[in-house]
Amino acid sequence: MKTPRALYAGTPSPELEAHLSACEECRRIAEDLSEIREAFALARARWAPSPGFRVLLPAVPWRGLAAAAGLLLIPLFAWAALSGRPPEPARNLEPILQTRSPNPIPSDREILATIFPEVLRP
Amino acid sequence: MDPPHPTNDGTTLHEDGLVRRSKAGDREAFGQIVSRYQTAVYRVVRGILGDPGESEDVTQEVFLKAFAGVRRFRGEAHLFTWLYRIAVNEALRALRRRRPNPLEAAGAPEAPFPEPEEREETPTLETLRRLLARLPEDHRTIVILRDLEGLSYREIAETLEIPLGTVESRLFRARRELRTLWRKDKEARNAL
Repeated sequence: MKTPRALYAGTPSPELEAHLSACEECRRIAEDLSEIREAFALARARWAPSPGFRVLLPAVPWRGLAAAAGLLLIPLFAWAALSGRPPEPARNLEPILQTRSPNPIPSDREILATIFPEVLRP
Repeated sequence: MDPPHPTNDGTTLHEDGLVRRSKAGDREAFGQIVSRYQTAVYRVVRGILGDPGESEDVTQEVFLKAFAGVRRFRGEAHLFTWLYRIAVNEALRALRRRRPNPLEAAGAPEAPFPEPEEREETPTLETLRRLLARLPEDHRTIVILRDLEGLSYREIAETLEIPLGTVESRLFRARRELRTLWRKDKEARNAL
């Protein structure tokens, strides 16, 4: 059983050659293995990607991740920058908000003068 | 005779520098790695999947995964065995995605293998594709790495992350099984 193993391992030796000339079965194995080797040699020569085949590489993945991480950091930096701003100067809005009524409420004396002109007449 | 090795393409490529630049995000550097290995990666994927169109899609996936993971590549393994490992994993994943229901397939020795979009140009290649498809995944993978890609036993061990002794025994069983299928196929064709 050692001879077929040497045949399959493809390790030629004078003993193997002598055996092959005497053993029909081993000669057939050697013949088949030789045909298989030829088939592989043909495959090696013929099996190739089609001429138009191109491996398309993406943008560098870790750079893409870094860019994405950078984009996420932008709002964070913006928030940090805004929260560190000096306080707003104090503004007194009261004069602006305070509106003067166009028709001020009349005094009691004026109301009385309207109702009873004769009473208040000097 | 051993098949040519993936790194013996007659060009000098300073892979360490390219890997360093790729880690820093240099697409042009990684593009050079792609140019060098895309055919080899494609062949491994095609050997496992059989379908040319699907193999191109998976090859694309392999390099996307490699590009995304290159920063984690520590250089303890060869660059090409690292790429082959991704290729094997992605191809096997695609193969499992293809299978409709593992419970239904459990009784069958192998899930049905779809016909490729294009037929092989030669009967020999068509036979090889058909017979590889009938091998179990681990046997298919190991003969592809050894007999198609020409990796040494040590490189196969590195790629598949299995002991050297396992490489030897698995390769022996895989070749024996492939040869049995080859012989049966030949006899069936001769009988016609």
